[in-house]
Formats: sequence, structure tokens, C-alpha cells
Amino acid sequence: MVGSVVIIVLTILLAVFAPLICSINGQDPYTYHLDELDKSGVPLHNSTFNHWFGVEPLTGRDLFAIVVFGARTSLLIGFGATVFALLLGSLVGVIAGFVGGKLDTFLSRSTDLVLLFPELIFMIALRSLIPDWFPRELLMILVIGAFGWGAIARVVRSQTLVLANEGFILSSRVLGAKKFYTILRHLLPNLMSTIVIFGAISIPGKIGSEAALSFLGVGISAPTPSWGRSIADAVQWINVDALYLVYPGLALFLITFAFNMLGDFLNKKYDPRRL
Amino acid sequence: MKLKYIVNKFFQMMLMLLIITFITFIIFYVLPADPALRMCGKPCTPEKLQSVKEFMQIDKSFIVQFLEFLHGIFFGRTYSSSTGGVAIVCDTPCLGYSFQESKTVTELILARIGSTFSIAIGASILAVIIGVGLGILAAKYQDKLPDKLINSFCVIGISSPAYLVGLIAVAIFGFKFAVFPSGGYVPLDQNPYEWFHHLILPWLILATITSPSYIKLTRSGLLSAFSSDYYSMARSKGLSGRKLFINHGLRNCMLEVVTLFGLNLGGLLSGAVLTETVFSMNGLGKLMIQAVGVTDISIILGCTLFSSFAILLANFMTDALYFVLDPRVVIKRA
Repeated sequence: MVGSVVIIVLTILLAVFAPLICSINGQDPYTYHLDELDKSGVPLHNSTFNHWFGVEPLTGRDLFAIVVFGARTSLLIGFGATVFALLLGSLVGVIAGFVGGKLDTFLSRSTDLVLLFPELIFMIALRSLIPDWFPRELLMILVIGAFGWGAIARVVRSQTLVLANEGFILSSRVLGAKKFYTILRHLLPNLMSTIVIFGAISIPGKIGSEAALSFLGVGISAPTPSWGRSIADAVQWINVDALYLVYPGLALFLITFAFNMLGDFLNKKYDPRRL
Repeated sequence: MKLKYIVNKFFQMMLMLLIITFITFIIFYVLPADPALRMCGKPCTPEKLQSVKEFMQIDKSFIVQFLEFLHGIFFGRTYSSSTGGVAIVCDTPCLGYSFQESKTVTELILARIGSTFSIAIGASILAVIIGVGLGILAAKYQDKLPDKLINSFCVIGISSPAYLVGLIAVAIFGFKFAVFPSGGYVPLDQNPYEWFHHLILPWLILATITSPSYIKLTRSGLLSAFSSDYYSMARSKGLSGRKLFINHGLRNCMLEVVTLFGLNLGGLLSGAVLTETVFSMNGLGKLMIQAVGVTDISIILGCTLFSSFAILLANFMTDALYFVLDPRVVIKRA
């Protein structure tokens, strides 16, 4: 548990201070170092004083810088998509649970639809329609978030249903408070812990989606560093040296692992789905 | 009652499919600025563009286009061109026609479907075996060493992207030791042994990665059964050994395992894109990725619909299986 928090905090620091950290040995993830490669594009050294993790095959870009800057992409999209999904999901869940009736039926069916949607396929498919000038990071946040709000909507709805019959909510309604005011003032504060915990649980999935899409070549496009794309780039060198795969792969694994441990811990402690 | 439940579920599935078809159709045929030009591919001659437009019936309203498309899925359709081109017959289920490949989308999908289905079905079955097996082990040795080891395996398994583990496995077993082929697919009817040999590694990797959910379900299901009154009752009446364990313990978690199986199979079918990239197989996912690369909308649309259908079908079959395992669901869920 402590270990996973340390990993998460370190990764966040790495992402925030990426330019600073890479400036220690004067590297960035964009510059080509062709002098570090032999004629067929294979790096001459695995690790040097200047390039701690060595360089990428073919381009000679610094692998350490790519991994460090990759944390930026990964966390930005992971957090961004999670927040977007939480907003959408909470909105749908609260309205469905609080308003009820036909609107609830409609929203609940829509939630079912989103949960059943083959999201990976759709995310890939959408790529062919979005023009190239659209910022990739924003697109990924929107797409991953838009397909990922189903579960939170269900949880929030069921919890709203329970809370809506509690004394303090009923009193507020009886005293003449508007629905909107009651939701904002009395319902949301009580849902907050659930929403936050659910957010922590769903971050690794969102990070994984970004990596998977970038791995397939339909996510973040070059030269913005992304662990998923670095893994894909390493594939063609896999029988030369699997090391190019290890650094971005390990980074992706560690952050997912840390968030999963944290989520597991939070889940055991305050299970939002126990209601 | 039983029939009503299944029929009900079936109509729910069909409705869902209709909605998905409608949404996909809007996304691909209506939203793009010039769908015909996108369909046409490169190089796009004016004559070709003209026949694309006629095939799509672009001059007709959107609803007509959609209904024609639906009609094609159920009854097939014939694309004809007034500019002297040959009419193309697209049999049921017609999911469109790719101008870039000069084939119907259904043909293209059918040609690739073998590897995708082989991987998904094999891996999901193996995942149940591994998952339930380890889950039983973990429950039997609750809080002892085997349980703890299995639990760590679960956390690691959940955190590892399947494609990453797959790549590492290919690097080790495919290239370094060359025990397994590093990729590719041989159809079952061509050479059963090679089919199996090429699929072992993908199956094992995917099953291992997806097994943690089964382990957790089986473990918690068994533990709650062990501490239940009916279990103690059966035991105090003298039942013991395998019969007690299977009928009163394992059966308690089978419903959830089946649910998960349906979801998992669907997930593996749509996740095939990743697996096929890793193990260099030329399946449905690869077809789709290639189509995205050249913006072949017909193929993308067809693959999306086909995958959605496969996933919904997997879910439907799960729902139908519920009844066999626990007739109570009919009353609760119908």
C-alpha cells in the first residue's frame, strides 16, 4: 500500500518535472542522435553516461527522456479521461436516481448500452473520421471518457436511490428546497467519497486504454512520447534486443500495478458497491 | 416461463443491435463531410466516385440509406451502377462493399474470422479452467501460502497489459528458445497440429491474464459457501468429499463464473485487435486496423457491427445459460 503510493507520487513528480529531470543529462525525447546508431539503425550501446536507458533504434532518440515524458502523456490522459467519465457518470447517475420515472428508464438503458458497447473497436473506428488537426490528447480524453462512464453511473444511481429516501434529503424537499439545490447541497457531498474512490479504481483502466490505442497506432501520434507507442515501436526489434520493450513496458506495468493496489485497498476499506 | 425469458432476452439483444447499427451508421455515413469520397479510396477516379455514389444511393435520404443497409443485412442486396459497371451481388448478411478491396465486407470478414474465433474461444475456455482451478486452491488454503501466492499473481495479472506479456513471451519462447512459432496462424482444416501449435502461446498468455477475475469470484464464492448454513447442514447430514464440494460449494459461484465467461469472450473478441498485432495473425482485428489505415469506411463499419454482434451474442448465450444453472434468475430478472 505504502509502496504503491510512493510509485504513484514518484510518477506524478516525474511527469510534472519531466523537462527538468531530463535536463540533468541534457536530453529531450525529440532530438535524433544518429551518431549513436550503426548503419542498420541498431544502437551501438545499451546504456551510456549521456543516455541512461540507451537510445531508440532507427531514430536514436533518448529512451530515458521518452519514458519520462511518456509519464506525462499517460497520466494526463488517464486522469483527464477519468475525470470526464466521472462527470458524465455522476450526472447521469444522479439524474436517473433522483428524478426517476421514464427519464430513469431511458438513462438506465443508455447506461446498459455504454457498458455493452465494444469500446475498443469504436475507439479505433473513430480514429479514421477525426481530422488530423484535432489535438490527439484531447481526443483520447474525450473518447476514452465517453465510453467509460457506464459503471460509475450505475453506482451513483443506486446510491442516489438509497440516499433520496433518507431523512435529511426528504426534510430538505419538504422544507421547499428546489431539486437542484437539494442535489447540490445535500446529495452530492454524500456521494463525493464514492465518486472519488471509484475514480481511483478506474484510473488504471483508462491509462491502459490510452496505451493500448497508442500501441495499435490509433492513439497518440509521433513524436509525442507515449509508452504504448514505444512498446509498438520496439516490436520490430524484439529479436534484436528486447530491452527497448522493457523500459516503457515496465513503466506502464508499474503505474498500473500501483493504481490497482491502491484501488484494491480503497475498495476493501470503503467498498462503494456494497450498497 | 423459460421460453418467455429467453425470447425476452433475445428481443433485448436485437434492439440493442439495431441501436448500435443505427449509431454506427450515423457516425460513418452521415457525419463525415464527404462519405463517398472516403469510401472511394485512392486513387479515386471520377467514374469510380460516381459508382460509389450510386452504390451508396447518396442522393436518397439518410433513412432510406439506412433501411437499404438493414435490408441488406437480412436479405442481401444488389449494387448496380448505371455507368455500365457490373452489378455486384452482396449475399445475406450483407455488411457493405469495399471499393478498395473490390470485395463484399462479409467475404473479407469470413476469410479472417478463423484466427480471431480460435484465439478468443480457446483462451476464454482455458481462462475458466485456470481461474476456477486456482480459485479452488486459494479457497482451500485460505490465508495460507498458496492463497497469498495466488493473490499476488492476481494483482500482477490484472496490471499487466496482455499485449505486453504477449510480446515478452514471443521474445522468449518465439525467438530466444524457439519452442513456439513467433506468430502466424494455420487454419484448423489445413493442419490441425500446426493450428494447435500456433495457438498454444496466445491461448496461454490470454488465459493467464484474464484468469484473475475468475480466481477472485471462485474464491469468494466458495468461502461464502463454506460458511453458509446449507453447507454445514449438508455436512452434518453426512455428505462429504467431492459431492459436498461440487454440489454445495462450487455450484454457489457458477452463476457468476458464467456471467464472466460471457463478458470475457466478448472482451477477447473485441480485444483481438491487440492479440493479432502481437502474434502477427491476420484476423478480424488486423483487417480493421488496416482499414483504418487506408480509411476504408465500409470495412470499418462492417467490422464494428460484426464485433458488436458477436459480443451481444456471447452475452445473450450467457443469459440463456443462467436458467440452466439457477432457475431463480428467471423470476428475479425477467
